[in-house]
Amino acid sequence: MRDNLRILRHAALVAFQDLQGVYSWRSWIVEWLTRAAGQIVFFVMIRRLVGSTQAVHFLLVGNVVAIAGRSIFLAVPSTVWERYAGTLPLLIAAPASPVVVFLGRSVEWIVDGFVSSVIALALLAPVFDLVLPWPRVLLFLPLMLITCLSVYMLATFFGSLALRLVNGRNLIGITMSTTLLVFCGVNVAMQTMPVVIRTIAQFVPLTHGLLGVRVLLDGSPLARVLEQGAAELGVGLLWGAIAISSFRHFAEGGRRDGSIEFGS
Amino acid sequence: MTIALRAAFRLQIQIIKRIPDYMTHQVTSPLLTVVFLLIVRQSGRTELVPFAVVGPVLIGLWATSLFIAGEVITGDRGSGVFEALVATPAPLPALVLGRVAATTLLGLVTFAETWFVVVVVMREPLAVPHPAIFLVALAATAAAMSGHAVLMAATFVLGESSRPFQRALSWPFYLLGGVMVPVALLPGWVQPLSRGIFLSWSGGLLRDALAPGPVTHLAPRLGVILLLGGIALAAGFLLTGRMVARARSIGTMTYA
Repeated sequence: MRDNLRILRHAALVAFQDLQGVYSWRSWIVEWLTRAAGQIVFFVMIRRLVGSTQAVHFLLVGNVVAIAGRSIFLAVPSTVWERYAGTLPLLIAAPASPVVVFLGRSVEWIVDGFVSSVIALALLAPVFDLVLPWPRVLLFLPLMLITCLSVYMLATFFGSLALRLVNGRNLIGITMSTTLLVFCGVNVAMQTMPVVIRTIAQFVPLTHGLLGVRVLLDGSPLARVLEQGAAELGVGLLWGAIAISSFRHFAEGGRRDGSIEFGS
Repeated sequence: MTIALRAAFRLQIQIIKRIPDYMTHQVTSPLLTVVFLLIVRQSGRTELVPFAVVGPVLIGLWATSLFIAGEVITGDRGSGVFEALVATPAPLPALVLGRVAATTLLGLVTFAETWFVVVVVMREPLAVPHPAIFLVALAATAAAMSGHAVLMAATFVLGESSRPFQRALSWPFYLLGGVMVPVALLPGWVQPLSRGIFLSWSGGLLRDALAPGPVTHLAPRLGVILLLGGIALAAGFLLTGRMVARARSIGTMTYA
């Protein structure tokens, strides 16, 4: 256990070094935050085209939460970076489980996604007249953290698939973060979606977290917020187990047929 | 010139076929179409369906150019073939334009996909009251896109990485370019800026071609789209030429 925590810590250190290679503080604010705000405002403006102020708030909250998913799905390409760095065969050959490394080596995107959503809510709520109920709005922080962790588990699972399709890493990551916009009630209320989509959405990270944020902000009883937070955590754990199993399968398959460094 | 253009076009098609990542926006465009259409449906304003068609098409076209065509020169520099490319007698602008044209063609695939999603998957009736105007507007948009893609390729190479340009020119640009929400609904101070982006003219014309009313000022609107595309193309050629001349003179053709 202690060894695994040590490996996880070192993997996280690598992750944050990677993040510093992608962004400086300045470029994170100027480039990423502007891009994220641009995406949120883009969707909110669609409601300005078609609907009411209430609908604007629905879209604002949905896209503020969903923007974290856009960041976190960068875990898919960053998992594959291990392959580009040439460290993948070493990780597989090492006595420690490579699964622990993969679970830790993209955690920078959890922080990136979490901070992006928090800042987006703080900046855009006043712009679109969304009242944030004080002090219960503070519960947005733990709820968002659970949501980010849950989405990260899904992203690492797809990262494990991307290790088998290196040239499709961005395709997989961007497609999945866009799919969240369709399935998780980000832009359209879940009750208006077909039953099949609603059923699938129950097992997709972000759905319950977003619902929790919505009930938190509309003043519903806190028990409902906790219920959705627990459901989001449960879905995250489910995907975490699937991701671990997928990484193990990849490592064992690669050891068996020598394909670790020769995927497409 | 023509041989170089055709060879570059064929090369880019081969590259696109081999890299799944290059199909990203062809995969995400149908998803965005579903999102836009669901928003329009939920509002009950089905007369806005053309907005849900034109938006993903323009986003797909722009994003494909931004992420593939924009990296044509930086990619060649990174892989070390740029020096050899410049040393050949073929004119570099023709090579860039040929590759960019192939990318634009890929971007146009999103148009067929969007149409399929709206009409077949979502079963939304979609009339085209002005088919000729729609096709002409789409062709003008594709031409202007190619011009802008050449400019992107020439500009991105000036930075250390293409990523800052790609981030800045994605969603904030779709918003400013009125690809889904018309420029008239944006804040007044933004509108002059939006008018300088060809996507705003293309979006307006394509939406009008899908609406039952008459399409007014067709020629001038088409003219603006082509003019903005032409300006971008000329600037792209000029920048490419200067970049090569400077790199030749100071010996920095590839990364030091």
